[in-house]
Amino acid sequence: MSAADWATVAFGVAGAFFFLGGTLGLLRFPDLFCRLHALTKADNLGLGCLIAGLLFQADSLAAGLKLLLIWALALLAGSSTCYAIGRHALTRSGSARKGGGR
Amino acid sequence: MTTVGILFDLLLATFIVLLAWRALAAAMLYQAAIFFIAFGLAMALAWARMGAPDVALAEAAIGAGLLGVLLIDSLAAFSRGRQSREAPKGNMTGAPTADPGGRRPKSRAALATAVAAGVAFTVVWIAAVARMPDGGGLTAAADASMADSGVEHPVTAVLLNFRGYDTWLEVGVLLLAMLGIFCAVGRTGFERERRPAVNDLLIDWLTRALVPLMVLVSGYILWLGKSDPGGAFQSGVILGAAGILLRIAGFRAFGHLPVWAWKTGLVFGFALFLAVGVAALPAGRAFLEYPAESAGAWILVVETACALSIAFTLLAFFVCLNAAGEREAEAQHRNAD
Repeated sequence: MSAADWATVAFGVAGAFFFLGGTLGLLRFPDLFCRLHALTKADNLGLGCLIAGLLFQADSLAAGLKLLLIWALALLAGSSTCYAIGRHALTRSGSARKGGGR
Repeated sequence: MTTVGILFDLLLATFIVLLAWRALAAAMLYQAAIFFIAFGLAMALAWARMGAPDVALAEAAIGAGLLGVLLIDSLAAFSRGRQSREAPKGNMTGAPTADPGGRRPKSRAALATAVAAGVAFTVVWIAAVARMPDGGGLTAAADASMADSGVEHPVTAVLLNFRGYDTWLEVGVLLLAMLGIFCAVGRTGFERERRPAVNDLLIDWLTRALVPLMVLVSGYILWLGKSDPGGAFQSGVILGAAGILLRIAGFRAFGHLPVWAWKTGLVFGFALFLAVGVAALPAGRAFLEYPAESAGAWILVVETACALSIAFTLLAFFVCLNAAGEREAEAQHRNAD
């Protein structure tokens, strides 16, 4: 295995760690806002690490840029939906701590 | 196939069955809708694993994306209607009395029907697999004719050239579905003013940023169909989704067009496909048989028309059902007052 492959493995494992943490948070955190926090961290950092790892395997500059574009779009969509869900929960419940609790 | 591949496939297959079961058995309709979307995404992954990226793209876009939006939008209208119905009974604050998902009625008959249908399908499926011809059926014949098809991607060659008939009728099926919705809920909601449905800078900005990108991707996928997975359906769905996003964010999204223009947009792809097919007849060719030297150009014309019509149809699905849901909720609200 080359140095690039090792870098891919390292980033991939780091990405998997953030996804695992995010999933754990989603399942265990007490209310909607904490869970959103956990979920978006998984999206941002987990996917970011995976993409960074895959960048070492990209054949061309164009392929690498496409990977970065995927990450940017996922970031944009993830943070916006997080905001939309949070805003909806806030306006519905009227207080930050009530929304979404079971 | 590697061990990791087999393990992944087994996990995926189990996951799909589990998601399907949860979508059917979830106590809340809202949960069922979410599970259905997850099911669609897992199915798309399965198609990709089976080497059918064309189907995977369509499944992700239609099965998970578009149907998910329609389901959740219907549920939202449904729970709005229910809230106003229940509001006078004690809860005077107007706050929601129950979970917005709505508890679904339990039905043993539905469950039995689902299981029976599943068993019947499995039997038919096994019988079909047993009768599968050796050597891939018509694959060799299709491969041999690729040079005359006008495109390089075999799936596009089969869909738009060798079996153009099927695709033409598929576009017709979409049109029929649209007519069904017209009959059921009426032609409503097409014309409307710009109204900031969500009075929100971020949603507004996001829509303005995403929609041009979606139009670009839609065109790219349409063009890509010539040589790679892609084509009219996938492209049309993305374009339609851009329209739906605009509507949700409160933009007009063709709301200034009169209803006859909408109708033209809905029929356009089907009609042009038919015209191209009939135009081949006087020249002594079969229905939908393109001249071999210009087949690529004809396919591009037909695909572009179909993509536009598919986008219009999917947007019209959403517009009609959304308007009907809103009307329903308003009627409930009036009754409650």
